[in-house]
Order: sequence, then C-alpha cells, then structure tokens
Amino acid sequence: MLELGLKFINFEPDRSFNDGNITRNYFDASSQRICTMRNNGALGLTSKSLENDKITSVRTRDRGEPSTVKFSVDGRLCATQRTATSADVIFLEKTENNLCLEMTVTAKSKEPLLAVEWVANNQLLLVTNHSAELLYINEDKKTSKVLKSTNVNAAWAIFYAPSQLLLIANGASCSNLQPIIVAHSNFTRMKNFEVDFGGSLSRENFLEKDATIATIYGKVYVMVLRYSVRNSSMLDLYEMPFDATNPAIFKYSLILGFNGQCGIHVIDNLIIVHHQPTCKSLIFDIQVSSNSKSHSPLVTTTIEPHIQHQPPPYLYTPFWFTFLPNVVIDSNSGIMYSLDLKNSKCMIEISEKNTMLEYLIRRKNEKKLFITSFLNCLRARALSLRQIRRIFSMISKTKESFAKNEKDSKAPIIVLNCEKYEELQISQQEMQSSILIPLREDTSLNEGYVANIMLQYLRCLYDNNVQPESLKLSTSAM
Amino acid sequence: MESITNPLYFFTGSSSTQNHSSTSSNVIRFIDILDFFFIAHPASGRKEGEEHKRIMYFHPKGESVDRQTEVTGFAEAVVNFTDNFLTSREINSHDSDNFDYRTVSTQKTEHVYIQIEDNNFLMGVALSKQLANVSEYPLFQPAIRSILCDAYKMFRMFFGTYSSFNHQENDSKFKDRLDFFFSRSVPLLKCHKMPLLDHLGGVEFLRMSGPLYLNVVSLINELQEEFQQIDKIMFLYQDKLLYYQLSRRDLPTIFRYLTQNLLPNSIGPELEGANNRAKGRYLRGPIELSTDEPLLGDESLPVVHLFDNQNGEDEYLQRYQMLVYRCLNSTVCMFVKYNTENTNVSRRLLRNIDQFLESELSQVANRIGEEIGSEVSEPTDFHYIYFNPSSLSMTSSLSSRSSSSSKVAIPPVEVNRLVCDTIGKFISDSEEFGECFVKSETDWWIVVKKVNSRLLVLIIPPSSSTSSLADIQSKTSHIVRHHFDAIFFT
Amino acid sequence: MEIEVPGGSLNPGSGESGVGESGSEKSFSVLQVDLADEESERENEKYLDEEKEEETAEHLLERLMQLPYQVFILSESGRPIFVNSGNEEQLCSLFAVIGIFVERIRLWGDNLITISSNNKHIQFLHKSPLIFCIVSKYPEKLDEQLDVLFEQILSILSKSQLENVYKKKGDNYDLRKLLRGTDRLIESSVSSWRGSPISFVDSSISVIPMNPSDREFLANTMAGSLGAAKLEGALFGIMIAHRQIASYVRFKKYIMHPRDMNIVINLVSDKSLQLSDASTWTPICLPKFNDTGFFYAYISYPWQSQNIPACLVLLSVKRDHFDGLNEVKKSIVEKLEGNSKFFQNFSAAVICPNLFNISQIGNFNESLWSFIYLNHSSKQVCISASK
Repeated sequence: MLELGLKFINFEPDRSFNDGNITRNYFDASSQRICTMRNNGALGLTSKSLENDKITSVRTRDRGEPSTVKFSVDGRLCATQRTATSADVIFLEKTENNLCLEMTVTAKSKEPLLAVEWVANNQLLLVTNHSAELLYINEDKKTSKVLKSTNVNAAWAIFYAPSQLLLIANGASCSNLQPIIVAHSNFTRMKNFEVDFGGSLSRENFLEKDATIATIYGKVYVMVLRYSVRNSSMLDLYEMPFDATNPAIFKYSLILGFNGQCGIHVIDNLIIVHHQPTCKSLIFDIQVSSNSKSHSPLVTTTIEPHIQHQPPPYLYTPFWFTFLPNVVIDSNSGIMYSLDLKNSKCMIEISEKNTMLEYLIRRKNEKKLFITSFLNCLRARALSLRQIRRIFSMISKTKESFAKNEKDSKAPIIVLNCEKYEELQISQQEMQSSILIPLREDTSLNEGYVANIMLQYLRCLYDNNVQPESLKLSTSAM
Repeated sequence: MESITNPLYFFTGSSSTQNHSSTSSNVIRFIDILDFFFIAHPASGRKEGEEHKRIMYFHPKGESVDRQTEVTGFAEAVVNFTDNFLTSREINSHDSDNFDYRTVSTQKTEHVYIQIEDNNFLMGVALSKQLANVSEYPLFQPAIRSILCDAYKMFRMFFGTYSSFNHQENDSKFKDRLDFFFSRSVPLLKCHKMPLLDHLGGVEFLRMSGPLYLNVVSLINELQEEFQQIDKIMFLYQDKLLYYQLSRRDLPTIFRYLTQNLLPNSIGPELEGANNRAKGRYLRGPIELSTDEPLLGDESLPVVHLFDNQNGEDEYLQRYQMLVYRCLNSTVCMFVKYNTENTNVSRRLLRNIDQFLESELSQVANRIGEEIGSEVSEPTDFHYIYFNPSSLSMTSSLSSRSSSSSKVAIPPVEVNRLVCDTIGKFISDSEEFGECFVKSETDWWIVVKKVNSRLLVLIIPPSSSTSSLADIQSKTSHIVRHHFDAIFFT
Repeated sequence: MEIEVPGGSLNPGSGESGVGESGSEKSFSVLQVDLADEESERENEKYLDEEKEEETAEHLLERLMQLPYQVFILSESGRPIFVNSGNEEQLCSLFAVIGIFVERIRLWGDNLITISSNNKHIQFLHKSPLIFCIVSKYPEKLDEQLDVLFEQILSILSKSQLENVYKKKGDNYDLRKLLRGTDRLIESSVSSWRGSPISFVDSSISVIPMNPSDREFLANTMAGSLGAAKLEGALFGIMIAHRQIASYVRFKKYIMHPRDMNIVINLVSDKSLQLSDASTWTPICLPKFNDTGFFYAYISYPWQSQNIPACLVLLSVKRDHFDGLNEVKKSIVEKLEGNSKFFQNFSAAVICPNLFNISQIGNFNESLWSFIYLNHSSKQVCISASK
C-alpha cells in the first residue's frame, strides 16, 4: 500500500574523500529542498527538490561548515548558519567571481540562534532563547532591517511553514508549548498549552525531535511522541484551534506498539509511522470512529519500492531519514524518494468492507476507485443497510451543510490558516449513472434489495437536507 | 419445564378511573351497562342433569348456577333454532374472523352471542337498555358484537385458542384461565359513545411527511437485516401507529393492548421523569442486560399468539415472544418466534438490539418529535370519523384520545344513534360507493360518504348556515377539500 | 324492495266460517258473536294433491326456507296454529321452541322482541293468548307486519271470542278449528302488506288513480244510495279495485281506520269471492273500530262478467241488512251505469289502472326517478311509476 520512489532525485551522498574534500547534505523541511555542499560550498552548492525541476547550482566561499541550510520560497536566497549566533544570507543569484554574495545577520541580543527560517521571500525569522525577530532582507542594498521582534522564553523552537506557525517550547521540562503565528510582518501569540511527553527520570525534557506539526483533515496538529517505561510509545495528537483564545486540545493517541525511534509521515491525511527494526509501517486514520481517544493502526504494512527502481533498493535501512510530509532520503545511496499511497491495495489490506469504503471516501482523487469498489460491494451484498446508509451520508452532503458546520455565529477571529479538507462528494447524477442504474439493471440481484438501497439513498438525501433530483425509481422495484 | 410468563403484567389494575362524569368523556365503561357475560362450551353440557357443565365463565360471579344455566341454555337454543333458517351459504366460512352471531332484543335488554372456533364455543353478553340510557350510550348491535369479538381475540392473543386447551378431562385449567383473564379485562373494557368507532375497529395512524416516513422504513429495514430473528414488527409514536408488519387480523388487537394497557401503565415513571432518560429501554423483560443469565420468571418476555402464514398459505396461530422497546415517545414492538425447546431471545440479543436502537431510534424519534411539535392543527367545528378498511386506518374526533381535535361538544346520544342507524341501514358493507345525508330532529346533520370503500362520516352541529340540503352539500365539499384532501377524494 | 308473491297452499274452499247467534246489543254496536266449533273434517279443505302425503319435517323446512319469509302463529302453550307453508303439524317442535323462548323471557320479567343473525331477522309479538313470529331477510317493519297479522286474526274471531275460547276450553285448545278456511286470508294479509306502498308509512291506504270528477260522482252516488236506504247501522261503503280504494263513503261521525280498511280489502281480494256475480254476506270484525264485535260485510263484484274487477263493499252492524244493502247496490250500479261517460272512464281506470307519473308533479330534475306521496290527514299514499 505504500510505494517508494514514484518520484526521486539523485544527489551526492555525504562523503569524506581521501583528498580532504567533504560533501555534506542538508534537508530544508520548509522548502522541501535538499542541499548538497561540497567543501562547504566552495566546490559547489546544489539544491534540488522533488516538487519541481529547479536545480540551483552555485558556489560560495568556504566560511565554515554550516549547521543548517534554509532556502527562501522563491529559491533565490539561502540562509545558513555557520556560527552559533549568526546567520549568513546567500544571494544565490548575485555572483561575483562565480561566488555568491552574502551578508550576515544576527539577533539583536547576539544570543545563539535556535531557529532560522524564511517566513516570506524576503523575511527571515531568527529565534533565540529570549527573543524572536523578523528581519527584512533588502536584496539590492544587501541590508537587513528588523521588522518586528518579540520576547520569548525558548528552550527550542520549530517552524511549520504551511501555516507560518512557530512553536516554542519552554517550561520546566520544555513541555509548555507557545504557538506564535508569524504572518503579515507580525507576531500573533496563540494560547500556550502543556503536553505530556512521558517524562521520567531518564527523560527529563521534551525534546525537539519528538515534536512534529502537520495538517490533517483540515486541522493543524502538534504530534508528540510519548514514551513509556512499561508500555509502548504513543503518538499523541494535540489539535490546534484556529483562534488565539483557546488552547490546543489533546485529541488522539496513536498506539504504536513498539518503543524506540520511528519515522513519521503524513500523507493524504493519514499518519504513517515507520518502525525500522521491524521494517513495518503503521498507517493511522484518525477519522475512523473509535470509542476512546486511542487509535490502533488501520493498516500495518511494508513499503514496496516502485518498479522503476531496479534492482529494488534496501528498505528501512539505518541510512534512511524521513521528513514530513512524505520524503525519504537514503543518505547512503544519495537518493531522495517520495512515498505515496497506493489505495488500490486497500481492498486487500482493510478487511471490513465498510471501513475500506469509508477510507476511500476520505482520500484524494479516488472517486473512480471508490465507485468501482462500492458497486462491487453492493453487488456482492457485502454491506449491511446501515453501513450503506452511512456511506451514502458521507458522500451526499451539500455545500450548505458543509458551510453550516463551519460557520458559527460567534466564531472568534481566525489567526491560524491551513489547507482545507474536502471529502469526496458524489453528485446525484453520478450516483444514478454509476451505481443506482447498474444495480437496477443487474438482474441477478433481488429487487427488494435494490429497492432498499435506493430507499437508503433517498433517506440520506432528505436527512442531509438535499433536494432529491428526479430519481428514476421504477415503481416495480418498490 | 415450561416457564409460565407472569400474567400479572398484562392487566395491572389501571388507576385511570374517570373522575369526571360520563357526559364529558367520549367513552363509558362496558361493565356499567352489562347485565351478564358468559362463555359456554355446549359440548360439555350435553348430558341430562349436567347442563351446568357447559358454563366456562360467567359474570357476574354472584349469579346462581341455575340462572347461569338458564341463560346459557337459552343462548344455545337460540343458536340452534336460528340454524333452521339459515342456508348453508349464509353461514360464514370459519377460517376468517367473522364469527357467526345471533342477537336477541327484548324490551329491557340487548343480547349478542357469537360462535367461536367452528361453533364449539359460545360467547354472549347482555346489555341493559335502561343502564345504557342512563349512560347516554346508544346500543348498536354490530358494535357490541365487535367488542365481544375483540375480547375473545385479546384472550386468544395471550393464551391461544379455546380449543387449544385440553377439554378431555375437566375444564378446570381452561376455566381458570378464562376467569383470570376476563375478570380483569371486562372491568377495563371501554366503549365509545359513538359505537361506530368500536364497530369499525380501526387503528389510528400518524400522518407524517414522506421523508420522515422514509426514516422509519429505513430504520425498520436496517433493524430486520441486522437481527434476522425479528419476524414481525410494529412502530408507534405516542399512541399512534406508524408502520406494521404483521397480519391484519392481529393488528387491532395488539394495537389496542399496547395503547390501552401496556403503554399507559409504563409511561407513568417516564412522565414523572426523575432521570430524564433519552436512553431507550425495554418495557417488559429484564432490566439488567449486561449479564448472560437465562430469562426466567419475572424477567421473561411475554408470549403472544399471532397469525402467521408461510409461503402464502392459510394463516395459523404461532407463538411469539414480544419485545417492546421505547425511546423518546416512540415504541418499537418486535416479535420473535417462540419454541419451547430453546428460548431464542437471550440477554445478548436484547443487548445488541438495545445498542442498535439506542442510537438509531433516538435520532428518528427526535425528528418525528420535531415535526409533530411544529404542526399546529386547529380544532374543527364538526365531528368526523374516517375509516379505510384496506389499511385499517381510522381517525376520529370522537375517539377516547382526541378530546381536543374538535371544538364542538360531543353529539347528543340521539345523534350518535342516528349515525349508527344510517350506517346500518343505508350504507352497505359490500358496496364500495355510497352517500347519505341525514338531518336529525334536533337539526344536526349527518353526512356519510363512501368512496372506494373508504368511509367518511361528518357530524355537523346545528347552525344557521347549514339549514338546507344544498348548504350541507357545499359545506361537505369544503370540509373534504380542507381536511381530508390527501386521504379522501371525491 | 322485492315484490313478494304470496306462497303457501291454495285454498279452494270458500271463505265461509260458521256463524252463530248470540244476544244482540245496542243497535249500533257491533254484535258479539259466539262461534261454536265444529268437529273437524279435514278432507278437501287444506291441501293440494302433491301435499296429501305426510311430509317429513326436513322437507317441509326446506320448502319453508324457499319462501321469502316465514310466519308462525301459535298459542301461548306452544300449540301450532298457522305457518305460511301450510302443514304446521309437522313443525310442532319448532312451534314449541318459539313458545318456550317467549315464555322464558317472560319469566325473566321481560318481553322477547327480536332474534336476528347475519341475514335473517325473527320478530316476535306476544298478544295473549297468541304468539306471532315472523322470519324475514329484511328487518324493516316486521313489528307492523305482526300487528297486521294479529288484526287479521281478530277480524276473523274478534278479541273477546279469542280470549273466551281459551278460557273455556283450556290452554290446549286447537284454534285451527275456528280458523278453518282462513289460511289464505291470513297469508295474504301479510304478503300483500309487504308488497304494497302502504308499508312505507304506518297505517295508510292506497288509492287508485281516477279523475277527480269521476271520483266525486262515484262517491256522491254511493253516498246518495246508501243514505236514501235509511238503514240504521249501515255505516260504510267502499269501492275497491286491485287492492286500492276507488271511493269510500261513511256515515257521519264514524271513521274507518286505515288498518281496518286494509283488512276489508284483504277480505274482498280473496279470489274465491270473485267467481260469480253473486253477493256475499259475511261477518267481519274491525279491530281498530271495535275489537269485541262484528260488522257484516255485503260484498259484490257487480261487473265481474264484464271483467271489470271493481268490488263494492257495504258494511253494517246489523245482521239482517242483507236485503236492504242488496237494493242499495242495485241502485248504485244502475246510477253508475247510467252515466256512460263516467262508466267508461271508470271501467278504464279500474281495468287497467294508470300509475301516477312523475311528470304530474312537474319536471324538477333529471335525476328524479320516482316519488311517494302521503297525505297525513287522509292517510292516503300513492306511489308513482319509475322514470
């Protein structure tokens, strides 16, 4: 069900040559670009991405080994940290003697920088233990200006670029998280909240590597890897509000079933956790109904490589690095892969038919597969009427009913933005032509059964306040 | 050992006595006008000197054995005498529920006798004309006959046919059962002051919009698909019927039992509503569902006898366990075939059904409640009775439950009598169409229309705008257009 | 309503019943007549050939059921008196049961009125010392039919006679001895009532359509002749045809009740009286007028030979008025025949009576099919032909 390498990029893997040349790779999650530096840029800086074909290849002066490399959205600027307290802005398109021009920026307090992130094309965010500053980089003049700054108390900080969300950890065990929206040249604080990371004597602080942010089903979640001495680890999801007055709420707890490190991906609103020692990947769907907040994996599977990779690469190796949303980097072979869902396999992987169909409804661009599967299940009488009705209900909402859910009369002001989620909808026309008419024409089916299905559909339309179009219900079937 | 279902729950003494005088209500108590009531088994009393053995049940209990024998003997003789005059084709076939009957009218009383079960049993009742006058009740023989038949059918529903009891030795077990049942049920019997309602014996349906009805049908389909053991089903909201899947022969009886006995006795705690439970519950049977112990004694489910026909053959009586589930004013009554070898309804099944209905039924019941609540119906300025014999649907402003659907006071007893006479003499059962306009001496108009076998009776109080036949005809079409448009067409 | 043909046995015998003497009363009161019994000779009086053999009760019952209705008359003690199929002796047990029913209810302090079933209605009437019972498919007006039947019996016997005979002879007395020969009369009293429009309204008489002027002439003629005869005690004169009244004249202050009129009509309509031009003189009790005594009826069909079925009836309380009334009849006939125009109309009206026409009440409505008219004061009813 998980396919590796539909898209891929080759890059030079990390190496230390005998002749003293060093090649290092850096991955910028915000721009989803991999940056290869040879001899710290002196021999070349190449950045590639799976998203587009834009390859940047420049040279910089060797001014030391960078710890991070970040690219601006348009790819013209690159920020890199060669010292603890400063960041160098490399103008990738301005060269002199074949070397890119650079400038250096620091935080006002000259403290060590915890995070350096591009917020907009020319806006750079610098976070220190005590401050967060937004700098404007003037390309022409090669100057920087502080646009906005605010005081923070930060042990560490991570930035989620799709929502421009800066998450700062502070507090006794770094488990108090302060979200700040960096947008419109402004810092907007949201309500801070506590997380439980499974603190113990051996694990006193909440670590940056155990925190992830992702957008799932139209909401932003902070995912916290919670360790437990006795039991296995859990991945806790805290749902972020859209406004600044309410704190994040603990919503789900994903049962991982193992201890130790894992890789996390979020693909098509599914959370996928890879466990290297067992070479297994767990797929979680938080919209599968559950009695409690705990979720077990919907599917446990193994990644399969795309057939274009011959011979098939080694999987789940120690050289693998996973990055959100769906990037796998094999640092040994020098390949960056995309990881994709093959939903056509879900029929095998998910045994309960109604769960499988509901799963398909929630996926992007799988209308055709869903319709085919649904029709087959109906033909095979594999679903109960109740399940059929639930499925009809999911796919028959109107825009009005969506809007009704979203708009509240007294909605607080939205500060946090993220990608909206839309469930698969099937119009009545499509339902008629793809499902209802084929069912009626199938003479092997009991007429009463087909009539019941149509009644269930009609009921869903009414229940969802959808006006039924003239459904050609034959009276004999009634 | 066969578990004997606790019969106490069938007729717990209802405390619904009517404190106000009988003039203001739509019903009277049957027992107030009753002279006697008997059940006889003529075959048991054939021997000379042992005629009294034919008496299976007699009310009032205090009557002397001699008088009881005389009364039942007279009834038997009447049946035999009249048999001389009936040709064989006039005697009804015995597999339907149209019992052969005789009526006797004397100066002081009206008797009705019905012959049950291949004429093996005789049931009879005598009503006092004087007491009926006092209660303002017009004696209408077809209605009395229907009440008598209904009493028998109710017994049969709970205990099976009379013939199913062993009559070889003595009849003591049979007599005990009869005594137990009728001693309780006869005092509870009510008659409508408009006897036509008892005679038609219809069932009140709830009218609702198409989409909402679709919800109900869909719920029932899902329920039956998931629990295949459910053979028959009924869905009620408040005290009206929405949907049923059982023999039409059983419908009036079980409906009456639910709406006049079971529900009123169970709703009390709901209305007092200490814990306002949106949760559903079973009205009979065990309270504790989470264990898996067998259902015995007080916790066992009532068993009823209903008609079933498999493969479209003739109907026969079959035993069923009855599950009554109630949630938010809606009642789902389910019937599961009952074999004595294994009790098929387990606590587990009850649990699962409870789980299903708790969520699904409450949703549907909520929607029904909203729709009903938003409907405002104005009281009419006339009285009406509507009856559809093919669906058994009957609505009336004169029934015991619809005290507020008309702003007119209930008609005087002569008008009620006139309605019955008109129907009895001018409207034939076998004709599908008919129309009759009658003006009483007190200027009440009675309009009877029969279209496609559906019957509509309008009772219009005197007024200056309805003095001539033309007036009443135009008022009638006005009423039909406004109130009965969907269900009755001219 | 179906028109029912009276069934039952034909009685070729004459309608004579024994007449006896008794002491006379005051002049205008009717005579009390004591009837003596005659020992029975049953030879030719009752049965047709086919019925001479003893019929089994079953056969009889079957035959009885073929009739549209069944009438039983019995004594209080259960002795059979009359059944409209004849051969009442065979149905003894049935009669006994009827008697027991009535008696049982009476013992309970009540009166039995009806027994009915799906398609059969049985009505009872207990007029001591007799019990009447009718079984019919239609329940309407059965009580009136039994009343008519009772009055018919009274018209033959008179009430005092009826009661006395049981007092004298005991409960087991067989009343058939006194009713010999009247079976057909009894039968026709009910059957004609059932088929006539007079049944629609209680106590009415039916009138034959005639020109008003003709009717007036007829009435005046009859009144004149009767009056001129100066017969004290001759109270009524009636012209009857087809069981309908053509004209009716009466002595002042005396009115004939419609029920009594119908009894007279029933009597004269018996076919045996129409055989010849001869006149009949027979006693008849009119119960509504006076149920204890007898009138004497002078009955003649003056134009029988001309096939004009009109019957002239003259009623008097005096037994010896036969000759006088005969003269009256001659006078009337002469006068009527003398007016040829009248007589022509009259003959036509009587031979082939026109039915009333719906157009006679105006062309109201396309939907009018037929009408019935009742005049409350005169108690006369007429029914139209259907459209």
